[in-house]
Amino acid sequence: MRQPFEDRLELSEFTLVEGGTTDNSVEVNSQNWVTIYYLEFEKGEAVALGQGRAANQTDAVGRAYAEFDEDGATDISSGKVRFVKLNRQMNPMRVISQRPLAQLAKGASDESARDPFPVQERGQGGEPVAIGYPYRIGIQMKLNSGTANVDDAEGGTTAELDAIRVEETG
Amino acid sequence: MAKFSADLTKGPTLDTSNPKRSLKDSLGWVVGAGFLFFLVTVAGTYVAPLFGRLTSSLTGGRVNTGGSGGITIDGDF
Repeated sequence: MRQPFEDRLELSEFTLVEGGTTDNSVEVNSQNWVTIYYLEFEKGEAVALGQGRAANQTDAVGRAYAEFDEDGATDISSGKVRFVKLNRQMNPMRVISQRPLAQLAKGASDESARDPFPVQERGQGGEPVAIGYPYRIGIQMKLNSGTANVDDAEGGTTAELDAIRVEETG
Repeated sequence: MAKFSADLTKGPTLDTSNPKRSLKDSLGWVVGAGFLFFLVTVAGTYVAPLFGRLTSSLTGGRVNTGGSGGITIDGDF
């Protein structure tokens, strides 16, 4: 039996794609979308990003919050983040959602101030679309200018994404 | 030219010269049943999943789980 339930994805569930100048970091730039984290699934697991239907701040059930720091706890705030469906070769197959970094960084301590995050993908019947094995959900970043190193070891690097998780309950 | 004739006063006769099923006939049944079992196994193992994949590919790899609150799964759940 497949059971959907509301959940909150933490960044610790994602895997960092290393490739930065320091350990536990990945370098991003203003030229390309760089995959910085990915969420992998076991067979029988799937996740639909977002919760609820309302897209306005007051009525939204789901919220998204994310902040990415460089080494030295400097916020990376000038750029965009997007959530993508990745194949097993880590190539993006489609964009699920895209937001400015500054928009995602709102509401660190006040959840009601966080970015509304209703279900990001719906099927033809309006139902949520969950991504599961063998695909992955990737977090990509592109800066407005220059380069930066997203440092996973910095405490400020965090994300909390409301979602609907589907699992095979046996 | 060949000539055919029939004695219409006599009905059909039953050939009782070999009333028992021969070993050859029995082996034929066994082989036939085995082949049928093989076909069903192959169909269940290889052919049926192909239909599932075909259906999945026609829907863009998405499968509606139906009983899971109407959520569509994009993947090999």
